This record gives sequence, structure tokens and C-alpha cells, in this order.
Amino acid sequence: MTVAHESADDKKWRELAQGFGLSAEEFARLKECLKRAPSLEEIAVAGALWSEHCSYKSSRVHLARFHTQESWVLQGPGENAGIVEIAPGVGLAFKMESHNHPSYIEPYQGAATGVGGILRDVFCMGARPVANLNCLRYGEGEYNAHLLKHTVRGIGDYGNSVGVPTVGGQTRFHSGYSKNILVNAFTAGLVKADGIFRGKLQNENTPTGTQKPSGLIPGTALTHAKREELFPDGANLLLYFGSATGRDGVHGATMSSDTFDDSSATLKPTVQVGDPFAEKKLLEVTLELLDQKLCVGLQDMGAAGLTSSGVEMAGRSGCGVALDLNLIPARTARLKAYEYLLSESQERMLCAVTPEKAQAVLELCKKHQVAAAIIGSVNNTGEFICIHNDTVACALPVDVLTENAPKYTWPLQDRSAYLKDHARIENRSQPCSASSTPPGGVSAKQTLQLSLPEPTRQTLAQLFESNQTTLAEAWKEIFPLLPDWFALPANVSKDPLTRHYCSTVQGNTLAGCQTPRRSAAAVVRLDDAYCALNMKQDPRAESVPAIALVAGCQERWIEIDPLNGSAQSTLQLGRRIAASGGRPLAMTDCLNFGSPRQPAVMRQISDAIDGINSVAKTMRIPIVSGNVSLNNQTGQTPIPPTPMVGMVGVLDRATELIEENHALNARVYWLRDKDIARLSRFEYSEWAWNIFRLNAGPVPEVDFEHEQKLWSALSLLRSAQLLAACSNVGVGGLLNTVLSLAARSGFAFAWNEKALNMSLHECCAEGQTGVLVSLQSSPQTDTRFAAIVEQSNLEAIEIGKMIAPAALTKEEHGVWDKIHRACSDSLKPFFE
Amino acid sequence: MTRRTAAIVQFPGTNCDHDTVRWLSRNLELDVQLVRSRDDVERLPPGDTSVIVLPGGFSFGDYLRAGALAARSPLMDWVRLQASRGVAVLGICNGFQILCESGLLPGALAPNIVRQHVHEFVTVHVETQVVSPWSPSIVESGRLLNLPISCGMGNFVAPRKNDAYNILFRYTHNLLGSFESIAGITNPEGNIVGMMPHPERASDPLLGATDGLYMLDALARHLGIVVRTGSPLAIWRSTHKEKNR
Amino acid sequence: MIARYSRPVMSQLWSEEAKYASWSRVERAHLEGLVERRGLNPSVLNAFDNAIRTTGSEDYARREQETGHDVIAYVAEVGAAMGDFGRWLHQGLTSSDVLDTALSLRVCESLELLSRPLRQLRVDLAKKAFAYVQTPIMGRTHGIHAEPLSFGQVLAGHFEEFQRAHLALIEAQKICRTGKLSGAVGQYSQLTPEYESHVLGKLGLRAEPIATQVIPRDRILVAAHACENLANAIDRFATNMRHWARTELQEVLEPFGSKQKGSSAMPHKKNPVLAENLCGLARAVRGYVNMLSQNTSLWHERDISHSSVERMALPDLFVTLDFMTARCAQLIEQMVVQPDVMKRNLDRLGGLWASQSVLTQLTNAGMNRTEAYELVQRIALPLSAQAARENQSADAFLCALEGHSAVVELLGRETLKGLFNLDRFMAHTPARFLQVFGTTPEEVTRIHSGQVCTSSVPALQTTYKVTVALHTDVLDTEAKTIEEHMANQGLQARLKRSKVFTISLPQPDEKDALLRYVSSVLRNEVMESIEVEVIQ
Repeated sequence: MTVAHESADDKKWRELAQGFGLSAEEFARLKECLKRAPSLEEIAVAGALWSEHCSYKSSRVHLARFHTQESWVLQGPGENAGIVEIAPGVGLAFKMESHNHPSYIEPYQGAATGVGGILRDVFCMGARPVANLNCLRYGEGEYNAHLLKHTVRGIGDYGNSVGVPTVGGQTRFHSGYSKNILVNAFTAGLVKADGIFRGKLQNENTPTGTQKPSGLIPGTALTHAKREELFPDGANLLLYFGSATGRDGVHGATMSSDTFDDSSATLKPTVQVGDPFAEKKLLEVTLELLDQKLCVGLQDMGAAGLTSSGVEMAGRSGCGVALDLNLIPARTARLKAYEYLLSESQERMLCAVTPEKAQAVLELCKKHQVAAAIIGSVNNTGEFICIHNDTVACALPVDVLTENAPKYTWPLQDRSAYLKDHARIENRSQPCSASSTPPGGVSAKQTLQLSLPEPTRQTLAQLFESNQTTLAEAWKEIFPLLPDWFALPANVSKDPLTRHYCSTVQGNTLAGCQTPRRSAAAVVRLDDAYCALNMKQDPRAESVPAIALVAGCQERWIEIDPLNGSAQSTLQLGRRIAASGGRPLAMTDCLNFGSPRQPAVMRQISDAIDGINSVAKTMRIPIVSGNVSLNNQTGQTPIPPTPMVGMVGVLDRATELIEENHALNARVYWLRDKDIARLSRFEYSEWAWNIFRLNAGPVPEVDFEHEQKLWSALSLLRSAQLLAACSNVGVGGLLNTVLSLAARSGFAFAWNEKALNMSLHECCAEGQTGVLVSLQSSPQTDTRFAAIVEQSNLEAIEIGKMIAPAALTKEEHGVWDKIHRACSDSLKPFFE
Repeated sequence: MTRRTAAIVQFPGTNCDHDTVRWLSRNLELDVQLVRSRDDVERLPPGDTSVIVLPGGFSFGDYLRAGALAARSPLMDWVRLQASRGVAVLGICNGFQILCESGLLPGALAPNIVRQHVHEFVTVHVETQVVSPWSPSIVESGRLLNLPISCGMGNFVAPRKNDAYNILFRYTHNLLGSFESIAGITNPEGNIVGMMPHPERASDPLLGATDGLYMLDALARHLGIVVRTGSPLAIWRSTHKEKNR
Repeated sequence: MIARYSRPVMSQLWSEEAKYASWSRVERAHLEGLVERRGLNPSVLNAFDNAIRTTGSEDYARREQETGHDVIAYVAEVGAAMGDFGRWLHQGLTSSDVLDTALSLRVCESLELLSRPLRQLRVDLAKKAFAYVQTPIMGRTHGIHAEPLSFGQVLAGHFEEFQRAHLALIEAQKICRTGKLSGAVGQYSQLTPEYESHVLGKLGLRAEPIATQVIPRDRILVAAHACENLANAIDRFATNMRHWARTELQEVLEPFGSKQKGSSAMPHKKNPVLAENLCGLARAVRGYVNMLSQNTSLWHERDISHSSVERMALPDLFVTLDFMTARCAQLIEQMVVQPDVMKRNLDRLGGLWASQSVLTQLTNAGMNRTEAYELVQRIALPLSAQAARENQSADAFLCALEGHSAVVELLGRETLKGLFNLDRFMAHTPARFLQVFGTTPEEVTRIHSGQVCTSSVPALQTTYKVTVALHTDVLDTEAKTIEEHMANQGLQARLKRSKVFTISLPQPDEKDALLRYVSSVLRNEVMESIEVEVIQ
């Protein structure tokens, strides 16, 4: 039924399809694939599965380049989460996922359900979650202050209630996120290497019969014979368990791939509502189910709910499925067929079971007070068939929805043209006129203010004008301005935020937010879960391994140069793991970008993938799972490119943890490349960004060789038990790192001669800037340290020591006090 | 000698159960059992249960009021019976809320005055004159313990007419708004203790916090339970021996 | 109170014995109060119980002959029987304290009693409404054929009216649930307000905030008006019933027993006597309500002009209405619905009921409205006249329209025929049912296999509202913050946080279990107070 010109009826259907996220071309493609007009339900299903969120239609061609395999990878991309082996027989499953759009609209529930979703992705593989991280990006203004407060509450309340510690992450601010905040959640869980479950419908040994299309079309009433064909005797059954289905989140999946316009307010009711208690029950029942090997395959119902889980499992198994929607436990009796299919009600699972075990699964669910029902069956139609009120609502070939989903190769901007366009990027945050005394950056109305007070900025600009000025020359003038600097949201302590997160539940968090010990990466020991995996073994504390976790990215570098910037940014995560005493093993990514229809954004995506990949390949840190969030833009302005990376590493023994905070009176060394000027620059640092309100390229190419030397030197120092503390030199370069470490411990820092003779630009430069270490006090430490540094072809410059503020003059003491308070209190009012 | 039994009571939504099991079983020669139903109680090893712990978490999702629904579960009747026989009962965090809701301890816990979930290491002052198997009465001078709190409803509201309790712990800084800075109380007999801070999360040198061991030390002394050799508590005892004498 | 129009339980409630019994409840509660609050010897209660057992209404009536005052007679008789303890009886009370408090008890009880037949009536009516949702009946305005609609919808309309009347009865109970022990002119010269609240609490009553010597009569009037609403709802249904049963219609008939006789003279008759009786009784009820509405303005702190009216109107009002409601429920349950007759009547005018649809369709197709109206009228009116004299075929109007080339050309035969599809007039009925009953006929069929009962129809369930409120002295940080914020804006307010639960019970007798659960689980004594009220 092809019509030359579009009739009123056709127009109506095309617009309807648009409402479900299908473009005119995609709608035409769907009709073409089916050789008939699709039903409303089919449009809904295709709209959901062809959305960017489910199909990666714009990024797939680029994601294929990722380095994903190493001998320790147990599960690479394509499943709910990636898994690496961290100890003999023990896998670590982890993944990061975005929940950006929902969190902007309804911050509390949006962020909470983001955590819920990623937890399910991990535990549905059979892994018990042991740690959460989150990467957050906010912009400026009052609404962003509101978003900050409520997303943090949402993340905390959900994770705390389920009983998974939230141990770290990264929170940053940039005016480019004002209208598109980012909420990326990461979960890691432990799984027995032989107990990994995947989202499939058939066992390996089930013969897949030849596919025979059902020949059904929507609208036909189901005959008895057809029913037997769709729900064949003896075939594996689809079993639904978890919370009942309601209307919440209908349209959620299509929304998360849409750009925002002014009508966003009307999207509010489509945000899902989380129930952490239901999640906790679901977690326990799922793990018990998998432990008893009662099911064949399992997948959580995430974005696009039942539709995506049903179709994706069918796609992986190469078979068809039939669902009777009326059998789904529902919160209300009047759900329409497409509402069943698109509902994003939280805390639900779909699993495939053999007929013999179905009863056992139902009983297990009953024991845990979790609703469950058999809702469908596996068959060999190769189609995704849904029955509603005994009538066919949807009969789509699975491959149309999966392999044959649209793939786009959007045009890329030429790389050199991109670099030229972005050679200088401006800080567009609102200038702050009033000079704010600490707690600064925060006014009574609680608005996020991202700029330095103008008088402070101008003074600093004069000081930083010349690249010859030494720290000694400028210190006297910079020092009194530091309280303003540390009141900036970029530099404040995040403790007022992280106190919402229970980081110590499960009792294994060695270092994380709000723990007595701190480290460059969050570190969680295996212990409890490890004991559970190796029954009867009572591991002595010192032999227990631990995992190191970090996540984040440096969007400013990536905006200037997506390739080198993302490589630099990713490498820094690895350095933090190395600094904590660990060895990086693998990573996951969560690629947050603007619209793929903009060639510049596509350049960012493509280059960021290559940049991360260069680290993956060279440093052998494979990428085992990932998620893409596109269309993070309002109007024509995309967010800064934010390819968030979560990295996991391992400490063979929990006792090898190196703390980050240097002790009182510790002599601090800067361990770095001999030619640091080659590897770092002041022009794209946090200081330049805030003082001159711009960053300029180029971003230096990564020197992997240096980085490898640094990491192995750290490993040698650790084995020799020379290190007392080690911290990564990160945002704001040496100056920021030293001062914030001092501020956090309540200390002051006394620069030595050598440090004071460094240029300000050197102290504030960012890039491959090495680490700060302090040493154990024991005889021969210094000589052994010097030997290892020498042997590694690095240099270690002693820069000064941590001192008690009381030892200073009253005036200096006063300033340090202000710095401490600015740093620790500036975020507090946002949560009151 | 038959081993003594400790029962860890688990409700749907309890999430500090495994930590608590480990806390006790790693340090003390106790047979530690998780109980989630009356059936589990029947299956406990013969002989008297000496210790019952209600661990933290979000029993029944904290619906209605934290601890309210768990307090009305049949399992609590058993706890009540054991408590009346003098068994040492400890409720931590959500366990404290459950003990108050069930009437085993007076008072109730309201939302934190700061209106947010608070996870932080805090300092609590021990009121040493209280006699309880859980009371770290042998604490050296200072009597301050550094323990983590993690709760949204930790603001203790005292009963209006009743003063049938002893204060065991007070916060040095009353972050949550508790009546008289109360962090933990005992019943008049002293065998039932409820507290908001989590001693089980501060009993391991690797975690950088060991003050929770004071409570295990007290329990072991009061009930004559043997400390496991090589355990964190045994090591802790050997280093604290000097001071305690 | 005519035996013919009364039922035993309600009549009993308004008997002399019941009156004295209600006084005794009040006097006993007062004595308990004296024991608990004034340290009186608890044996006084035994003495009182004994005295009540050994004396009776005849004794009081006899004594009243002497005293000319009923309460004094009662107090004297019972007091004497109590021996020494007698001096404590009625201590500090004025007679209206007993009379009015007891009257409140009886009024509330009567309103509660009325709920029983009314609940049954609503169940029966809902069953019929669901049963006839697909049955078309001719809708009539001015007694003239208008357009068809679902008979189920007609009944759902009556249901909705009874539902409203029921809510008014429940509301009236709340308003009438006050008592008074505030003495001669309501100024507590003998007892204290705290004491009053304590004693009234035992009887499930609140204290009248400001009483004169009596409880203000507007409260009773609220109850009377609620009763009037119910009587009117019955009246409207019965009136419809009488019309349906007319020989010319015969769409719904009253039940007719096998030995029943219609007319003393004409053996062929089946008269709608039950419905007619209901219409008549409704007139009587409206009379009683009118009497009571003149009772509210008494002289100063009281006169006795209201007393005689209440002695007559109140018993008759409640007893009559109770009888009416039960009879109406029975009528609804047993009425004989004749869908085939409804269909025949509907077709009598040859399908003229589609005239508006034809008119609309013509204007949609582009015809001028006045022109279209006149065209349809030209075709319709002769048919109407003809139908009065001879039988018309059901599609006479359609045929006439089809004979009209202009109409056929504009609309096409298919469209025209479609306008005569009866389903169009009942398409929205399920949505109306959802609104009224909280469920649809389709759902009742699918989920409850067609069973219309309290568990399948939300509107038939008893609904309670449970409000759990934080005590004011418990720190509620959120309320405190809002309160401070308001204070900063110049608004001095005290906020209280409460949770509200709405609980529907299919079985009314589960109420006790609900109350037990509420008091043991939902409430925390330290933090919260609780209130349970019936809202449907």
C-alpha cells in the first residue's frame, strides 16, 4: 500500500510515529521492512528500540573500534555489564550509565532511578554489587543549585537503602551544563567466574529450529491453533518478576534521546519513580535465583522496559518470543498495549526459564514477596509478538529491531578544522562582580556561582600575566586570595555532598568518600564477598585483594582536542589507581555528547573514542562495557564533550593501599618526568580557565612511555614499602593539589626554596604532571627512593612539608583558617 | 564446652546483616546465625542464645516510620521473650529504631534535624556508670569513641512521661538534633542497647577505625566469651592491655 | 410510628425503653467519670447497674405522673433504688445534659442504622446497572421521545444520587456526634470542660464547643436534611418506576406475586403500588423535616417549644425513612426489566431518534443549518403524526431519508445508515461507569467473571480515612523549616506533618480488624496521634 502523495491519514500516522521518536525516513523504513502498515504498538516498539539509547544508531560504527579483549576479560561489551577476573575465580562486573535527561526534569527520582538501573544491570549478571560511583556535572544558577541538592539526595537515598556503598566519583561544574546536567552512575559487583549469567533465552545446547515466520499481522484475533504455535509446548518460558507495571516512564526512552526545547516541563510525568526497597528484594531474589541456576537467561527492564529486554534477549538468542500482555502484573487494570510495552516502571526483571523450573522460580519469588508471572514463551518465529486481549498487537521480526535497526554515519567535521575552531575556548560562566568572602560562590539564594569575584580575578590575572614570575615572587599576593579560590565550586571539598552517601555499608570500604582513610582512588576490599565465593575459606586480612575504582573526565581538554584530551583525561584515571597502590585492569565508558547531526559533535565522538582507545590499547586497559548518551544539548548548543570513563584496578593485597593524605611534618616530593614542560601546559589549566576565562590549545600528545615508567616506579616504591602517601597531581596542577591536601587535613604547607623558585605557570600547569609522594621514615629510605627514581629515569623534587597552622604567624594562620573554611563549608548551604 | 550462639535478626530490607555477622564471628568464639523467620529460630542450635543483634538497614523500606513494620513482625515476639530472659540485645541504627518501635526501648527516632541523610564519622561520649553487657566500661581516660553514623532518622525523641532508660552514648556534637545529644540508650536492666552509630563498621585497622572493638571487648568480658586468636580484637586487646591495667 | 410502615430495629430504637436506656448510658458514664476523676467509691457503679435492672419504664412513667418532669422522675426512681449511693446520681447535671447527650447518641445510631438498607439498595442498584449496560431505552424529556441511551446509565444516575445521599448521612453523623455536660446554661458552673471531654469520650462523642442549656438544634437539622435527600432520591426512582410501569410503556414492572391482586374491581390490573407508596411516604418525610427546621431558634438559652415537635417528628422521620429505604431496595432487586419492550417502544416512531444526528451530519457536509433543520423536520413531523395512528417499521425514518436525493447525495447511503446505529448512543457509558463505580462493565466481566459485589466494585466498599499526625512537641524538621520560612514572611503558623491513608474494605465487618491494626501499627505513641473516620 504505497501512496504517491501523502493522504491525511498517512500524515496522521507519520506524526504519530514522530511522537514515538521515529523520523519520517525511519517510519518509511519500518513500513518498507514490514511490507505493510505498522500498528500503533509496532510504531511504539520500533520507536523505542531504534532510539539512540537502545540502538546506538549514531555511534555504533565508531564504538566498533574499541579495544575490548585481554586474557582477564570474562565478558566484553554487548551484555548488561562487562566482567574482568580480579582474582582466581572471582569476576568483577561493572558498568556506567547515564540518566541525564530524567534527572534534569525530576532530579530526585531521575538520579535515584539512574542508580537503580545500573545496579540491576550489574546484579542481573549474577554479581553482588559492592560499590557505586557517580559522575555529576552541573552548570550555574539557581535551578542548577536545586538540581545539585536533589540529584545528590536521590543518589544517596537509593544506594543507601539498597545497601551498596557509594564510595566516590567526580562532581564538576561548567556553565556548558547549565541546561543539560549530567548524572552518570557506575556500579561494580562481584561474581563467581563460573556463575555469570547473560541475557539470553536458550541454553547453548538447545537446538535452534529453522525460523518460520508466524504470518500474523496486528489486529487479528488469536485462534487456538495459532496460540499453540506461538506458545509451543516444552519451549522456554518468559517469566516476569519484580514490581508491577504502571504507566510511569512511558515515552522515557524516546525522551532521553530527544533534545530539549522549551516544552520540557510537560515531559514531567514520564519520569520513573524508584522504590529502593523493591530493588533490595529484587536483588536478593535475583541472586538466589542465579545461585540456584533456576533460569536460562535474565535481563532487567531498563529503558523501554519490557520491549527492549524482550527483543534484546531474543536478538542474542536468534529466536522469537511471544508475550501475552494481559498476564503482566499491573498496577492498574486499564493499561493499553503500548503502555505495557513502553512502561519504564522500575525494579522489574525478565528471565527465561525451562518449563520444569518455572514453578520453582515462582515459589522463590513468592518467598521473597516479589510479584512474578509467566508472561510468554520462546518460539521459532523469529518475531517479537505481543498479544493483548486475545488480539495480536505487534508482530515484528526481531532482526528489524536489532541488527537491521538504522545505522547512521553522520558527517564528521575535518579534524584540523575542528582544532582550529576550538584552539581557544571561552569560560562563559557569569562573571561575579561582588567580592565574596568565604563561604563564597554561594549567595543567600543558593545559586551556583562558578566565577571568581572580579577584583580577585583581576589581581590574579596580573600575577599570572608573565610566565616568568616565580612562586616566591607571587606567593605573598596569591596567598590572601586563596580563600576565594577555594570557595569556587570547582575547588571546594565535596564532603557536604558525599555525606549523603553511606560509603561504609558492607564494611569493606578501605578508602572512599567520608572514610577515615583516603586514597587517590576509592578502594574496596573483597573480603566478605570473596569469602562467600570461596566457601569455608577464612581469608586472613592481609591476603585479601581489593579493587580500586575511579571515574571521571576532563571536559575542557577534550573540547579543545577530543583525541589527545580524552587520552590525557583517561590516563589520569589510571594514574590515580596507580597512586592508590593498584593496577588498572579495565574500563567502562559513558559517552555524553550533543547532537550527532552536528559534524563538530561527531568529530568529538569519533576522536574521543580514539583517544580513550589509545590508552586502552597501549596501557592494556580494555573497555568492557559502555553506554552512549547523545543529544545533550539545548537548541544548537551542545554540552562540552564528556566521555566519562570508569576504571577499575586491583590491589593484590588490601594492605598495599597507599593513602593520599600526607602526614604532619611529612616532606613532600613531586615525582615527575624530567622534561615536564613538554608534557603539561598552563594554558589549559583550571587556573587559566578561571583567571583568564579561557583555555587554549594545543593539548600535548600523550607520552605513554613516561606514564608507564611512572606507574612501574610507583609499583617498585610500593613493594619496597617506601611510600607513606601518594597523591595524583591533578586539576589545578601542583599548587591546587598541595593546597587542597593541606586544607583537607587541616594543615598548612611550607614551600621550600626549590619550590619557591619554580615559575607560577609550572606550579599551575596540567597534563601528565606526575604524583606527590611522601616517604616512610626509616633509615635508608631516602637512598633507596633516590635509586628507584634514578633507575626509572624520573625526577623527584622535594617541594616542602606539611606543617601545623599553629606554627605560623597569627596573620598567616588566619588565612589558612579561611582557606579551610572556604574549602569545607562552601557547599554546605546547598543542602540545607 | 558448647559454643554460645548469637542470632542476627534479618528483616526484608536489612542490609548490614553480613557486616554484623562478620563483626561477631571474626572476633568472638560464637556460633553466629542469621534468623529471618520463626522457623529459623526453631533451627537455632540447642542451648540458650546469648546474644541477639538487630543490624542496620532499611527494614521494610522504612515505610510508615523507620522500624515500624519490622517491630510488628512475629520474629520480634521471640526477641521480646529472649530479652525478658536477660539475653544481651543490641540494635544498631535501624535496629535501634525497631527496638523503640517495638517498645523494648522507650522513645522514638524522628528525622534528622539537618533534614538529610548523614553519613559521617562522629565522636560519642561513653557514660561509663551504666552497667550493661554492651557497655565499654573499661574505656581509658577520655571515654570518646570515633564511630560512623549513617541515617536519615537518627533524631532521638524521648518518651514524655517515661524515663525508663539509661543513656549510654552521647554525641559530642549533636548533629542530628537528638534529645540531650543521645546516641544510644539501654533499658533499666541494661541488657538491651540501642544505638545509632555503627560499631561493626569501625572494628578493623584496615578500615582505619577500631573503636567498635570496645563494645565487643565489653561483651566478651561480661559474658565470658573467648576471643578468637589472631582476630582484630585479640590484637587490639594486646595493644590496649597496658592502658587497661 | 405506624406499624404498617415501620421495621422492628428502628422502631425499637425510638421506643420509651430505648430512650431510658440511652439516659442510663449517659448517667453511667458520668458516674464512671466521678469514680475516675473525683475518687468516688467504685461500688457506686454496681449500685447503679442494680438499680437499672430492678426499675423500668413503667416505674418512671408512674413517677412522672407526680413530678410532671420525665428526667426528675427517672432520677428519683433510680436514685432511690441505689440507696445511699443515690445522691451521686445526676450530680452536677442539668436535665438537658442527659437528654441532649442521649439524643445525640440515638440520632447517630439511627443514621448508622439507615446505612444498612441503603448499602443493600446500592448493591442491588449497581447489579442492575451493570446487567443492563447494553440495553437501550428511549430517553424522554417532557414525556416525549428524545434520544436513546443505555438503561444501565439511567440506573447509574440513580445510583450516584443514592451515593450522594449516603455521603450526606455519614457527614451528618459527624456533625451530630456531640454531647454536653456543661450545665444549666452551658457555662460549666458545676463540672469542668476537661471532665466533660473525658466522660463524653467514653460515649464516642465530642463536647459541644458552646452549648446553651441544650445542644444547638441546627445539628439535628443537618441530619434531617440528609434524610430528606435520601427520601427525595427514593421519590425520584419511584416516580420513574411508576412511569415505566404505565400500560403504554410497560418497560419495567413491579414484582407481582402469584396470589397478589391488583384491583378490587378489575382483575386484569397490576398496579405499581409499591412505588406509589414510596412517593407518598416521601411527602410525609418532607413534612417531618419541615417541622424540625422550625426548631432551631429557641428563646435565649432555651425554651421547651422544640420538645414536643421532636417527640413526634424524630421517631417518625427515622422509622418511615428506614422502611422506605428497605422497601425501595426490595423493589429494585425484584423489578422486572423488559428489554424487548424497551426496544419496541424505541422503534415506535420509526427511528426519529436519529434526527439530531442527521441534522449534524448534513451541516457537517456543508448544508446551511436552518435549511437542514427544516429539511429534517419536514420529513420527521409527518412520520411522527402517522406513528400515533398506525404501526411504523423500525426504519421508516431511514427509508424516508433515503428517498430524499439531496440527503443521499450529501451523506451517502453508508454514512446515513451508520447514524442509526444504537451503539453510538452508548459508546461513552463504560467511561461513565468508571466515574461512578470506579470500574467498568468490561473489567467486572474480565477480572471478576461478571460478579457485581463489594470486592469487584470500589464504589460499594466502605472507605476509611486514617490520619496520622505528629504530636506538636515532636520535632518535625521539614515543618519547622517551612514554619520559620513563613514566619520570616510575616506569617505565624504552626505546621503539623501528617500522613493520610485511604483504606477501602470490601467487608464492612472487617472494621474491627482495621481499627486494631491502626492502633497497634500505624500509631507511635511518642510521636503521633491518630484519627479514623468513615468517608464512604
